[in-house]
Amino acid sequence: MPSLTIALQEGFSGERVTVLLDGEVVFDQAGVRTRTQIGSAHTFTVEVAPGAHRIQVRAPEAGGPVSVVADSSTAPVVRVSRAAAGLRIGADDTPLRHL
Amino acid sequence: MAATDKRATQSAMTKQEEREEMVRRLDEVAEEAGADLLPRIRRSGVYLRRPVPVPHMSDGQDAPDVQVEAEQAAPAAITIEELRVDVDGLAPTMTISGTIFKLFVGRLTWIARVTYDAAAHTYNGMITYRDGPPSLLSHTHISARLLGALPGGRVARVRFTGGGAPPSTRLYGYRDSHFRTVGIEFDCASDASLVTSYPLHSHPNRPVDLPALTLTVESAYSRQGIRMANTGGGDQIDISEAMNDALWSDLEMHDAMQRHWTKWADVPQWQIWTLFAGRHESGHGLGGIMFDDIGTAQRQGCAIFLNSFISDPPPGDPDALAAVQRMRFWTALHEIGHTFNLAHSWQKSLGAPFGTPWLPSQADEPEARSPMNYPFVVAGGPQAFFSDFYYLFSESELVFLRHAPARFVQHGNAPWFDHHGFEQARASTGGLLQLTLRLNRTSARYEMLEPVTAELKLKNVSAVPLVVDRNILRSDRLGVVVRREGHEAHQWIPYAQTCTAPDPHVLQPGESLYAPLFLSAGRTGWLIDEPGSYLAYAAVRTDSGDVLSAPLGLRVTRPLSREHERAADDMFTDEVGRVLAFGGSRVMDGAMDALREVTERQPDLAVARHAAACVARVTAVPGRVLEGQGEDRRFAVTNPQPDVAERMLTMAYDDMNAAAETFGHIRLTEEVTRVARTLTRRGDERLGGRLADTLADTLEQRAVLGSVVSAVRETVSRAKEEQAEKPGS
Repeated sequence: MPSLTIALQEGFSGERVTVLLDGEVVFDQAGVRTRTQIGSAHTFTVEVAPGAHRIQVRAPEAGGPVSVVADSSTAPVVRVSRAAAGLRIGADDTPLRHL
Repeated sequence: MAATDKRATQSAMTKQEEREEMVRRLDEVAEEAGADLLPRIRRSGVYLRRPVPVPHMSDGQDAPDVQVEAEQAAPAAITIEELRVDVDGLAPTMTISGTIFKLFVGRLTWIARVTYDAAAHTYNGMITYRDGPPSLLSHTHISARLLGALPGGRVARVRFTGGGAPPSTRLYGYRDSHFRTVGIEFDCASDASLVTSYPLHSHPNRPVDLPALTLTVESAYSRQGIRMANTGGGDQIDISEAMNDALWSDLEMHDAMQRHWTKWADVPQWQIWTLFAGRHESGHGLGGIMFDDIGTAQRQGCAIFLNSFISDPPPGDPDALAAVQRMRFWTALHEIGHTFNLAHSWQKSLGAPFGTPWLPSQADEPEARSPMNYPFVVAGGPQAFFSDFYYLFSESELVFLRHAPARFVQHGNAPWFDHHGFEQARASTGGLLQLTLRLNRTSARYEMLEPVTAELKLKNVSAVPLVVDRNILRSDRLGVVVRREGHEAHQWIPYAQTCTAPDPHVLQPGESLYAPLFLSAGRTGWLIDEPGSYLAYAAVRTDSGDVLSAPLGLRVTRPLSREHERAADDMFTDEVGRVLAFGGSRVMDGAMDALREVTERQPDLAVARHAAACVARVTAVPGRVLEGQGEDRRFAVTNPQPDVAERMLTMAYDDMNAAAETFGHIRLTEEVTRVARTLTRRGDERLGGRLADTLADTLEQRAVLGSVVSAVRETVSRAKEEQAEKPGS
């Protein structure tokens, strides 16, 4: 079954983060924190139906929500980071690599 | 100047200093002539401040510096000054920094970015960073001149100015070509292999001028100015330690580190453990991790996962095998970089709550060709990265590695003046003299109340004779610190400090000076009292430099009984401390009563020997006591109490070997020979002779120097001769 990998990466310092897939909560956790030595806070995979899906991420302490449309066949990796200006989100087909 | 003074001064100028002086002048002649008479040598590295006067230079740079002499004449407090010069060699950052460690004040690190003034042959810059007590250096600018051509003759002369302080010029001698020295151990899981080297020309995509070297992890770090030594170990770790899933979690790696690392200790230390393993539990996407963010001393361990993306052959690469090997080696450098507290290149400016940049102006370096940047995130990807990668850290990272305060960089990290702090200062000294603080006993365990008398040994470990003051180990040039585990360190200050005329003594190579040290108490109170573990350090300021001892560890055991415990109330007083330190008193009656009570009620305790020795010393012979006030002051003679003295001498010294264990060789010898001499002079040659002979036999059995044993055997005969030579005898 197709899937999307959602990676919460840089900049999280204990916020509550909620991830919605097509409006449905698939992740809701407080205390999300980036391990700076690998640039990763939390990664999870959700199974999806073929085609495009809307992923919205909310972290009220980091500003307004952000969203992206990702197709599991062309952009199965969704990356979310928190920067000074707020949340950033993007989708691509590059595998996750941390060091 | 008197003839004797001249001789002493001439002796103090060692051959080493003469050679350096000669080299300095030769170097100046070369520079002034504008000719390269000598081959250019690398001058970057670590220098140590020298406690010798700066020779007069004719460049007018520091002509009015009267402070030079005063500062180099050395205040009593122990100070270690290190200078780190980073202006040439591989990847110089044009930085000069220094660390000033002063006993009981603290440690200051200062950093100046410098530029070269070709006309003046100096490196000049403003001190832009300070960490530590400001009182240790108030100047704001430096001007450094690097002199000398031979490895042993390189010196740095630094003039400090500004900050409202009088200019100061300091001389530093070259000590080390590397800025830090680190031990590393590589262990390997059974499903992986070590990747600790890489031939730089194995892959065609590289800088055209990349040298054709095979880098090892150690040599790669050496190029950054970090000496890295493989400390052995090399265990193969069974994959079963990663439990049934054969995937490593951080906790499992931490456990493996504790089990397999020969240097494991949850304390700050310049040591790293590196594990090469198969795969992390988080999967193929994690190529390596500095996993050690567990416990109190972190950043000691990291891991490289070979069954991860770092082993994926890059699609279309002309030499995929070499590319994989390069990526594995690069990952090792990267993870080890994290153990030095280096962040990723794009995280340099991260502030709270992730931490604070060590320099406020730290900027991200997203395109840096550094081991701390991901090759696959730069513009152009790995192809662009490795075509311009020289296996060097970025300049800001090199400044951090070479110059940042040690506690930021060192694996584990620690507050000032813990074991590490003093150890680091010790490690940065070295050279001509070696100071040892030791116990001459089979065990470092002391009964509660048992006074601790350590011994100091200052040895000439150089190949040339050195001049030291004969009384230096009993002078205010000695500094001692005692620290009980889990408590603050305290300075030990003796109850009495001798003020003696200089007594220059030529210490031949291999020769030593010795002195006892009553460590339990001093003017700052009782330092060794409660049951627990203690560490003591000694430092001495000599004309050849400051010398610090290795720590002396000892343990005080729990009281043997309630009575033993109760005796502490009477014993741990200032007066008893003084009486024990001086070996008796004819005026401190309360303290002497407390000691007599110990001899009567708890004669089996080790402290009873000390108490008995104090009582014996004042009862064996008559003494004089100053009595009265004002014009009525007079000396009164106290009468001996031979019966009491004999009983106390028996208690103190009947088992001379046990006495040697608790008093230490030097103090026992001083005490027993003093009593033996006095008894002999008083006519009790039998008892005096018996004491001296028993002591000599015991010292001989305990392998004490033959010259000391002979001197003890002659105690009685010499006392009789001295008595016979006295007028009227």
